[in-house]
Amino acid sequence: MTGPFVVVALLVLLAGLAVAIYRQWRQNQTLKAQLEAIATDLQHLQQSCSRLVPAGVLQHLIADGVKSGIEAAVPERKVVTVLFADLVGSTAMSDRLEPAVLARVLNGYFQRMSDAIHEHRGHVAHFLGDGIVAYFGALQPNPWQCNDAVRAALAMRAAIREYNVELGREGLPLLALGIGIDRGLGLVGLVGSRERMEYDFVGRTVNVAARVQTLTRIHQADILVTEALRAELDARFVLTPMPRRDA
Amino acid sequence: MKEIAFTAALTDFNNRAHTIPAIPAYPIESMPDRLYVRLLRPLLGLIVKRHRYRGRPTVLDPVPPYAYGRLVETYAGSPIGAILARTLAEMWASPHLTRRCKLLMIAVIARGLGCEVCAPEVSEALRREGLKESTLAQVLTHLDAPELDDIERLLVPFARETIWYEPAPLQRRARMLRDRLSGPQLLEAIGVASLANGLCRMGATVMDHKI
Repeated sequence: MTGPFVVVALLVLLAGLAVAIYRQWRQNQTLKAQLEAIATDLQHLQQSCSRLVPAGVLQHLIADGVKSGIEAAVPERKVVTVLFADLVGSTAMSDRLEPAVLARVLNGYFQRMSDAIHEHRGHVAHFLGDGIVAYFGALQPNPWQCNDAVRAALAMRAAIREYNVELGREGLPLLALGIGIDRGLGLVGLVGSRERMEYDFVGRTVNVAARVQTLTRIHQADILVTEALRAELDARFVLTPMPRRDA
Repeated sequence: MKEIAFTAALTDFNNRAHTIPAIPAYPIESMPDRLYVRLLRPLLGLIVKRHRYRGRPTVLDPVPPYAYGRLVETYAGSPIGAILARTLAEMWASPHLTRRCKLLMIAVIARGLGCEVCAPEVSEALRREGLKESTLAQVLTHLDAPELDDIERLLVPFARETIWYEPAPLQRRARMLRDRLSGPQLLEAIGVASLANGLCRMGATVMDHKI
């Protein structure tokens, strides 16, 4: 009598165990699928966000644990190289072209300029109309930021030449660029109001770079750098001194 | 803390060692879930346990004479110290790149990370290799100098590119090197850069200085 009872009990136990293992396995599979779905969502979110802010800025925000307030991240003092670029004669061009064509031309220009800046370890901080503000050494320490900024400017010059060949083939107006570069100390971090914040560099250098850029028209040179930047540059860059002027 | 720093440095090394040559990560990452690995797990566990020296100090002999000697010494007594010493000794002994070239790559990575502990050791080692102070200063400031040979001229800027983990530019630069270096040279360059990145960050944590 005991023999069959033990066998039945063992079978019941085994069946119970099998059911428990199966349920655990199902639960694991569900959790794994959920985890993978969340990871994919996060990846998509990061990709979408990286169109709005540079990937490096996004990493900084995550690392700083920014929630909603300004107090969450304290800006730090850093030496940063600022590159300010602007299209020459863009107002006339915008009057002449259809909005859709103008948008296509400008988007092509922004893409090429951004690529040249990223390739040389800079990040585009703002598009101001058809102008571009880029920082070197703001997101990560970069002891080679001056050389990088000048190499980026040279790459932008080369890119605009190539783009002009394309535009010329389509009978569209050619683009001309003015670039000003300066280097100096300022505050880097999240600045703005509670409603809207930006990861930015605040300091005199930004204004100087912008003013130097306006001097490119006066000096008939497409790239101008300040004395502060020149002092840090590799001697192999060939520079031409310009007469002193107040912008 | 030291063990955590070592684990983080190992991850840093692995990230670069796999990313620069574009080795697909998924087959490696999914390996623990494979059936044959799960079946072999008890056996692997036994093998790993045989190499554990819990509670027993490991003799550190010898301390590597070149850069990172101080870092290795901070791990004296731990199995990590012996592993680090052996890894560094093998890196210096490998013949495909010159010792000066490896030191220059390390110096650039240390400068990029602002590593003040490793930098003097590396500078001293480079002086012993016959590199002038002015040449080193020029290399660290502009990533080039007329005294560098062709391979050094390629690998110094490459070392700089490995400092921040950005897969696409890293792989682009590595592809450019592929046609100009031999296979063993490229492999050694990837190893040196990956190791230097891990060690500099480990030094920053363990030897109490800031990156």
